[in-house]
Amino acid sequence: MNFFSLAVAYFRSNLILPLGSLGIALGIGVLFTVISVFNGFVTELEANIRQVSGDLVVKTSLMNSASEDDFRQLFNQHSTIVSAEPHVHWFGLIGRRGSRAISDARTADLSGVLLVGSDVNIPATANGDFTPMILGIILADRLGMKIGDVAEIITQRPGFKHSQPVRHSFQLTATNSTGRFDQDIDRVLVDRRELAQLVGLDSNFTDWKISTAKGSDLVALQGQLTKDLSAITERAGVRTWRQVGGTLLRAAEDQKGTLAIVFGFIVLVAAYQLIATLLLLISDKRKDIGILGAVGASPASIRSFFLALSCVVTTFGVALGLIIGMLLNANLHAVELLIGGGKPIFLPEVYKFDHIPVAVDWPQVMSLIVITYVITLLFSLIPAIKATRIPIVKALVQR
Amino acid sequence: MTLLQASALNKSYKVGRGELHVLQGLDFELQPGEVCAIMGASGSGKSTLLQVLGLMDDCDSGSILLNGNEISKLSSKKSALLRAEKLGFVFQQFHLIHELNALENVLLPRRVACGWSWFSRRQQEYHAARQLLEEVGLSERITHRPNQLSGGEQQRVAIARALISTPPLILADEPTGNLDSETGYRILNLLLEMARKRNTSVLLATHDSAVAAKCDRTIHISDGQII
Repeated sequence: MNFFSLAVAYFRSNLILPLGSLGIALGIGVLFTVISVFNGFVTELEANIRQVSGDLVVKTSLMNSASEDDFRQLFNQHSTIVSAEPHVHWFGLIGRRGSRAISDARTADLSGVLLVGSDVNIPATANGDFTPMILGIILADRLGMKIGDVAEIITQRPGFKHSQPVRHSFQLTATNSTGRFDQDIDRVLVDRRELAQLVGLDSNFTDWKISTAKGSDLVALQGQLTKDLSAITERAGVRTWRQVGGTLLRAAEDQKGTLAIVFGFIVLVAAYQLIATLLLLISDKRKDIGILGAVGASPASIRSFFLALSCVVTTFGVALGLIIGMLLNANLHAVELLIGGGKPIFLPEVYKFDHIPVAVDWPQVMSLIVITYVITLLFSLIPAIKATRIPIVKALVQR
Repeated sequence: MTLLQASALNKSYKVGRGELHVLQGLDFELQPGEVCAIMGASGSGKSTLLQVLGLMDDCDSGSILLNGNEISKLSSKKSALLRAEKLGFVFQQFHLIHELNALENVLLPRRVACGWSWFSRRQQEYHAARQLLEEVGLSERITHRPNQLSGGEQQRVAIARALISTPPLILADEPTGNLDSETGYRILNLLLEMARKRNTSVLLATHDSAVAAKCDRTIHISDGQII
């Protein structure tokens, strides 16, 4: 530790050392940003899934034998369940009334949508001619619809052998903005009972969105609910929100891991380059090693000095890297446009987000910093040991 | 009690296929507070003797006693500590660290020797280093780096560094060899004056008889033996 101030003095006076830090800084900065962006993606994805599905989703069969009350009664028996909302989830195609696609099946100017039957308050139509609906704000914009406009929705009514196509007119009475691109681009919100009737379902629900008390053991509750539900209905599946978004979440996590490894190599290379930097310094400052030895530094002290030097280089690199990372995070859109030549790289249609989400996971950042220190210290051991092997007398004669 | 006693010191180097015997059964004694000059031609073994006595290099055989204690067979850690605590060095080339200022160069042996405890003694050490720099006439230049100092000033810093641990012995290898004669004598006078004030022994290698004349005793060395 007594060598730290000497190490700082060396760091200030030998340009090669700050340059070594710069390599570490670039690695840390890029890795920090990549991990933050992917954390952002995963966090938003998780929030998205939870918002849509709740903590648990109970998917019921179309041939479900139990009533809504049976389900409610069962859910009430579990103290960790805070709320249970029935929904109807169905698929369909939407087109603005009068557009060619609706009247001519050969054209394909239709949007695939998720029809959500919910108990939320949907404003009624002015004259009651049509069924009211709420559209996601982006979907309404894409269809060019304003409040009061009418859209036709084509969907299928399930049957034993063949599904039957059905067509129904809905009037836009409100738009909905969740702030999430994927929600606002393909959701049509209608009254649950109206949708169930249109589709011809026996029960007024296809799934239940279950919210639980904070800190509940979802896996245990899932097991208990599966067991309890088997007593009232034959076909009902319970999935946690993680299972609902399983593939997507895993893909995002895998991508994050892969990119962390790829960009981690920058840190590794920078740390490796520190060996060369320190070896160069040892060769250049051989006389100083002799001076240190002459005034009483033991081989262990000289080793400590070079490790202290490595720590100083790493500390400066890490600090600068974090600043670079935070600056990149704060200006991601500008960076995106710069890389994309003025056009965004992350298209909302593809990535489901209208902005690049960022979430800094500080424990993860701390791990990154600790790993960087361990790697650089390990790599610095080679030059540090080499320095201790230089005899004082030989070191002092260097010109 | 004799401060330093070297007996039957041998040191040789491999040169090609042969061996060069630099010290050949050398015996030597130094009393506390004594200033002794070692004179000899280039390659006679003056510097090697100082390096061996200063534990910067090992001898092949023989013994070195400092205050009656054998020091030639110490571990590298113990000999390093002894160099920091009991020995001071003044070199012909000054050997200051260019990244540090004058004050930091003077403090270097203390930092090296004290380890963690240096922090608790920092004020005390700083005070001692400042006082030494004042004594060598560099009170105005304590924050200057070696490249901002003249040769004479650098050697003054080196003298202050050699004295910071108040060692009983200073080993000086041609301390005036890199200075013009006027500055050299001034530096020599300063070194001897400060050493005598502290009752510190000085073993000084030189080939200048005028320098040797300032010392209490002069020994001559030739082919690794005192003659």
